[in-house]
Order: sequence, then structure tokens, then C-alpha cells
Amino acid sequence: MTDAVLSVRNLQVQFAADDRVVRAVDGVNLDIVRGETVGLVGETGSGKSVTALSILGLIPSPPGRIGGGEVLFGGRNLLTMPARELRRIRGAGISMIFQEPMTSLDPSFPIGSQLRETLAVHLGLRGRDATREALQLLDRVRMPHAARVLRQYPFELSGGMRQRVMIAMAISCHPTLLIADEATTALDVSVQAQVLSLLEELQEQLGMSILLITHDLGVVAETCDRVYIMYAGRIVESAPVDVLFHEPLHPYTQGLLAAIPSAQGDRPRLEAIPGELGAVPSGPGECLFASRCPRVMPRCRSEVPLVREVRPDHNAACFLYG
Amino acid sequence: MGDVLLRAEGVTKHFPIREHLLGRRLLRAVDGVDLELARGETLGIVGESGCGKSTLGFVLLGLLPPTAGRVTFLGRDVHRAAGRELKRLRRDLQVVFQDPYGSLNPRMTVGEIVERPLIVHRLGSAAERRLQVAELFRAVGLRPEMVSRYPHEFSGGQRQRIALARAIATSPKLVVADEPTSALDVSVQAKILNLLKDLQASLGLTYVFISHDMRVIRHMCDRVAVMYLGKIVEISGKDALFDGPRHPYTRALLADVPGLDPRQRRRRQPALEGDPPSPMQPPAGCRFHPRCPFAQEVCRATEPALRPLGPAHLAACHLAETLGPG
Amino acid sequence: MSTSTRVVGASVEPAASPPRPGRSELFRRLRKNRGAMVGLGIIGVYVALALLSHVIAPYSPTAGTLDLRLQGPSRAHWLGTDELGRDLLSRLLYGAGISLEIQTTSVLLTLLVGVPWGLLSGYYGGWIDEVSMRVIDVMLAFPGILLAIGVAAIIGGGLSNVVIAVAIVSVPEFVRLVRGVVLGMRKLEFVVAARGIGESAPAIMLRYILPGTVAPIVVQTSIRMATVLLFAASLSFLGLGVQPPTPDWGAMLSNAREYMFLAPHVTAAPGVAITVVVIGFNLLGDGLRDVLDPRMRGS
Repeated sequence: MTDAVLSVRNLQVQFAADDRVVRAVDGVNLDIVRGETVGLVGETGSGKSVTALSILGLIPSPPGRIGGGEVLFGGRNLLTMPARELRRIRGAGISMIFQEPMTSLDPSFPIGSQLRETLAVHLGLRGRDATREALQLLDRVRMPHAARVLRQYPFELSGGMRQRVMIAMAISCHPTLLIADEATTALDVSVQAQVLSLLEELQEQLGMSILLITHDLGVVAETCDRVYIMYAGRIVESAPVDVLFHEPLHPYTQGLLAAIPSAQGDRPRLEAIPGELGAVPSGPGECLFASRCPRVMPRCRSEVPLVREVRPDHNAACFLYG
Repeated sequence: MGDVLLRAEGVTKHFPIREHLLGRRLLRAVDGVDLELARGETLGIVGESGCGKSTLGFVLLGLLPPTAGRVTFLGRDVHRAAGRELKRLRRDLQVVFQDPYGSLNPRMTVGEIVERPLIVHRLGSAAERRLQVAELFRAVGLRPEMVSRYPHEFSGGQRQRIALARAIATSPKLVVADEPTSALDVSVQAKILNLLKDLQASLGLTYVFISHDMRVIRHMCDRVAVMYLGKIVEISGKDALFDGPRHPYTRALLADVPGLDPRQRRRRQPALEGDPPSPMQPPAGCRFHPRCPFAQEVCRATEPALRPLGPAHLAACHLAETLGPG
Repeated sequence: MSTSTRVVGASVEPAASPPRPGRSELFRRLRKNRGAMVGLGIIGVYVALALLSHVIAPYSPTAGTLDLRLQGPSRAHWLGTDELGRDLLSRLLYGAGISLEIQTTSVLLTLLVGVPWGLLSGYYGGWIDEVSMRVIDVMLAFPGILLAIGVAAIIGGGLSNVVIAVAIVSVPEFVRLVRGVVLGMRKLEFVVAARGIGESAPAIMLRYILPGTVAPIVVQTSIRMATVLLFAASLSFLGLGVQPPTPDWGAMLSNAREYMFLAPHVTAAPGVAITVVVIGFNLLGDGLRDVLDPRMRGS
């Protein structure tokens, strides 16, 4: 993809746990084009957060380990970049916002000083310039009473406001890519709607791409252009968003969609995917979904299905399609 | 749907918060709630953080005494019961919590956890109890051989099943489920919701289902009460509420729920501005008026009462008639 | 009595893998903690010697001949003799027995009083808690050793009174400790769930909350043993404790003061013994805390 702002190629991340090695991310390929919103969807244990953290080299190095692959940004591989250069990219070229703003903001300092610090480090702004820019940023994220907020401490703000501060810090350097890791999961539905609408607006204004990591398919349906579905460390399907929702190919995707209660109330009984992730250990040479798949075939247990283009721009890793 | 099982009248719960030596403020978690629950139905209580739904759940269960008002279960006042009557009440009223990782005693085996209610209420001999525990495990879809394991050996979904087994152990009449699936993945949630429905059918349970997730509420409940800042602002049968909400807050809440069809995605402003306000300082008049797009003078001045707007459909809004169904 | 349990469509779930440490894991971690192992070693030797003192002591601790007084270490007397000609090694060994007795009895008394007090105070709150906390505050306002001296001065000297005095002085911190844990645990969901199924308050305190207090109590006990030893020794040193000729390390120190420059081994023996044992308990306590704490924080 020539237009790709970020390309992840065959990313492998492992974690050492006691005597075992867990392959949290096992050969993930991902592309993000300029200006688009890509959804990375998975449940607990899918590896989606680990993927996102690996992009910026934020995986703690024991017990985690990058086992292979590359992450290409601006033509360079972030995984092999020297630390000093990577630090320049973090917060500037690629920014990240997290689920719990309370833990990303330092509780001992007022919002203003934290904002100004980001501006100083990445843009070299100081003094009155920095304060002015900080106020502008807060206005941009539609923060009410921006001047007062600068003087307040994180605990004095609500969850939604803290999230806005995080977004303000994240966009302060006009990043090319914003990674949002479950950024709205902990928010009330009305606040979530505000934050998502804000992200959409900022994306248009700044021409930024967004990698949205979530388990909430509703959020995906409302905001994403393309979607990647992850299961047990692997990508199982990827497609433009409306194709994914209307013609899902992989049995896991189909199972996920069937399991969501509908707000139209037209689904009397939810179809649940049998079994649970990790309940039955999978061998290295089989499809990781085989033990739960309603359409499993003998081939699924003896080979690993690779992601293939099943239809134009619609990829899936499943032997049902060849 | 049968006779009235549970009735709440004017239930109010205020928490005094001591801010500093001389100042004490009141956290008005629940402020004058009236509810009736019929046997066999599932009543949903939905609202955002700070609306008081969990506090209300605790008061309904008799686990938290109200500041004012009362709760009666089959005619018996839940908070004045003592001795044998209280024991009987605890058998009939059960609860399932949100956090599958916190609601089970980490130092007891899951078999012991499920057996405790039977021991406490002296239901059966030791041998009979063991059989019953095995039955309960099977009823919630767990293998009875796992009774000697500890909670940390199970996944979130399985722990919720154990919590459910504990809740139905005494054959209760009413189960209050406080966000029972909010901490679970979508596919696990589906199973637990299915299980809840199955248990209701086979055991004749009545549910109070507390949640912030509108989709889950629609799926599970017969009637729905919407709470805002400690008060019920709308209550009605589920279809009437979802297809024709009468209160602006309900409308906004429904509008903000992400849809599941990308083809019907529309560019729109979020329906609710600002944050859910703090229950320490509820606005005067209608509590929703600062965020209400339709607010008028009367809304700022007087608090609207819950009044009927349709068959079994109540809403607390001065402008409900003029606005019509959403 | 059995509930109708025919259920439609439930699927059976196998168990997932355990993420939290069990008892064997804890022991493994303890073994890796060097401080704890050193402490455990010291305590082990101390306890063994104390228990076996009657058997292995070469001489009687109270029999001494004056013409053998203040002799330095020799083959007959490995640590020498004290000012009354008594064998220091034997006195040290018997003294260990006495110290251990004081420590265990005293700490047991403290736990018997402090733990239930803390449980009740934390669980019920209200005026029980208010009054208790004020009493505890007053007791804690005094430096421990002063309080011990005060109590001993009131109730008199002697072995049993030393035990009582030191036990009393140790109660406040255990009450505080247990109460703190109870306050934290009271809000945990599984405790509320226990109320929900109708468990009585005593059952909740014993079955649900008490197990959560074990780890901090174990850590605190180990550290407290050191303090008890110091207090008991101090009381004896001041003449308020064990009466002569009973060999108590503190008393031995006190008596040896006069001869400190003349025959330093007489002060060195009990002094070093006290120091080493105190260090041992502290090391063990710290190690236990390191091993148990992450588990406590994680739960």
C-alpha cells in the first residue's frame, strides 16, 4: 500500500510467564492509510492492546519481547530505531491515548503544567507562548472553562474531561497517527458519544489517521473506515466496515456479531460462541479458533490458515475460503 | 406476570460526606423513588454513572437502610425485619454483582461458596447439600467436578456463573443483578444473558436488572426505568420506551447508543453535552434542565413529577405532551 | 427441597488456567529471599537452643563458685563466667529459653486481645470504633518502652508481669492493623455478597474477613517479637523484670555493667545475643512482608 501511513508486517510479541512463553501477537499485518480510521477489534486475550503498545515500543521488556516483524512509519522501522529517535516520534508523529486517563495524568501536577511540558518537549514552546497554545488546545477539544482547567488537578476533573485533556496532549503536535486504546470503554455512553464526535472532528481538521482499539463493535460501526478482527494473537479478518458488518466471512466475526444484543430488540436469543479462549490448548500447527468453531473441518486442526484476500479488499484467515 | 412482589415507596438515600471539619454535604444518591415489581417480570434500571441505580439496588435488597421511604417484599417491610423474618427475606432476595473477580471469596473453594447459603439457611443435611451444589453447578453450566477449585482458577464468565449458582441456591423469588455482564466480553456476555433468561424460565425468578447498557436492557427487560441523578425520569414497558421515549434524557441516551449498521451511520452531534452532574449538587427545578435542549422557564423553577403519558408509561417532564414521543 | 434445575441450552465450560500464587509458590518465593532465609536461620538456631537449653547447657545457670568469677572464655567455660562465677554459656542458653517463653506468651496474649478488638472495631464502626481509637491513640502516644515501664511499675516485677506488661503495650498496633484491613475489606464485593446471602456478622468476620488479615498479622508478629525481646530485656535491665537469679539476657546485661571494662565478655555475650536475635526477627519479618505483600496488593 503506497498510501500507508503505518505498516505493521508480521509482528510477533511474546511474553514469558513462569515456565511458558505466551505468543501474545503472532504474525500480525496491518496497514493504516492517511486520514482513515482503522478499527482493531478483539476480546480479552486477543492481543490488540499489545499490538498497539508494540508500535510505540511501550511493551515492558522483560517479560515481553518482540519476537520479529517490523513496524514501518515514514519509511523507517520503529522496532529497530534507536531509543532517542523513537522518543521524538512518540507524542509527535504518533500519539496514544489510553483507557484510564487518571493513570496517564500525573496526579501531583495541574493540567496546565502537564500540557505545557508536552509543548516544551516536542515544540519547544515556553512561557506565554506555551500557555496560549495550551488554551487553544483545550478550546479545540471543546473543554468548558479552559482557563480554569489549566489550574486544576486531574482529580478535580470528571472522566470525560480528563479524556479531553489526554486528547489535547495527544494532538498538540499534530500527529500523523493517533492510537486510541480502549479510550472510551470506561466512559458513560453520552460522554463516549462526545469523545468520538470530537475525534472525528479533529481528524478532519488535522488530516490525522486513527487506530481505534476496542472490543465494542458499536463504536466500530459508527466510526471506523476499515476493521481488523483479532483472535488469540492473530488477525482473522479485515475489511471495510460496512462489508464486515453485512458480509462477515470468518466464523469468529460472525459469532461476535450474533452475540450482540440489538437495540431494536429483535433478537430474542443471543447466539453465543461455544467454549472460551484458552480453555482448550491449541497446538502450534492449527487454527486457534478450531476448538470453538461451528464450521470446523479436519484441515483446521492440522494447518494454520493464513490471511488471504477472499474478495477484493476483504481478507480472512479461514479454510472455508480455500 | 402476577401479583406485586416488591414495592418501593418514596425511597430516599442520602450519604453525608464530611468534607472538612465544619462542613458536611449531602450526597443525594437516591431521591424519592417509587417502584412496583410484579412476580415473574424483569425490571430494568438504566442510567449513567452517578444516577443512583446501584444504591437503589442495595436499598431494594435490604442491604442498605434508606434515609426515608420504605421497601416492602410481599407486604413485609424489608428494613424492619429481624430474626427469623429477616432470614426468610435473605433467602428470597438475592444479588449478583458486576465484578466477577471481587464477588467471590478468594479463600473459599467455589463449592463452599455455593454451599454457604444452604448452610446459613439450614437447607438440608450435609449430604443433601453436596447433591444440591452439584445440581446448581450443572444448572449454570459448570462441571460439578470443579467444586473443589478456587475462584482464581476460573475465567470471568465462569465466575459469574458461580455467582449465579450462589444466588439461586436458596430458590429465591427475586434476584437483583447489578451490571452482571458489564465486565465481560461480548461473547461471554451473550452466554450469561442466555443463562439468566433460562434460569428465569425454569425457576420462576423475578429480576431487577441494573445496567448502563441500553442494548442489554432492551434484550433482557420487560419494563424499564430510566434514572437520572437519583430520580426515575421515565418508566414504561420496554417497547414503548425504546420506540417512543417521552423524556428528553431517555431520547438523548438512546440517540447516543452506537448503532450496529455502518450504512446507517449519520454525522451528528452528540445528543448530550457536558458531563453527568454530581449528585452532591443537583440542579434546582428539573434536574435535567441544564443539559436539556428543550428547557423552558418552568423547567428551571419546578421539579416535574412522574406522570402517566400512556398506558403504563410515566415520565417526569413538563413538556412531555408538547414534545410528543421521540 | 431441591430446586427444579432443568435448564435449556446451557453449555459446559472447562476451567481456565490459574494466575495467582498458591501456598507452594509462596514458600518458593520465601526461599529466594535472602534476608528472610538469614532471619529464618537465626531464629531457627535461637528456638532450637532455647528449647534444648535444659539438655545441652553444660552447667546449671544458677550455680557458681566465687573463685571462678569473671574468667574469660576457656575450655571449661566456652564463654567464660560472670561476676558470681556462673557459666555464661549456660546462662545464655537458659536465658534464651526465658526470652522465647516471654515472647511467645506475650505475643499470644496480644493477639488474643488485639485481633478480636480490631475485628469488632473495624466491622461495627460507630461509637465502639470511636472510643477504641481514642484509647489506642492515648496508648500509642507514649513511647512503648515508657509505657512498659509504667505498667511494670504498677503491677510489679517478675516473669509473668513482664509478659503482661509487654503484651499490653503491643496491643494497640495490632488493633490498628487488623482494623485497617477490616475497613478495607468490608467494602469488597464478596463481603457484601456474604451479607446478601444472609451470613451473620460473626460468620462474616471469621470466615470472610479474618483470612484476609492473616498475612499482615504474620508479618507484624515477626517484627513485634523483636520489640518484645527488647522491651523485656529493658525491663529486666532496669530491675523491673525477671528477678535474679533467673538468667534473663537483660538482667545479665544490667549486672554486667559494673564489670564492663574489667571483663567485657560478660556484657558482650548477652548484648550480642539480643542484637542477633532482634536482627533475625526483623529480617524474617521484612522478608515475609516482601513475599506476602505483593500478594496482598494483588488480591
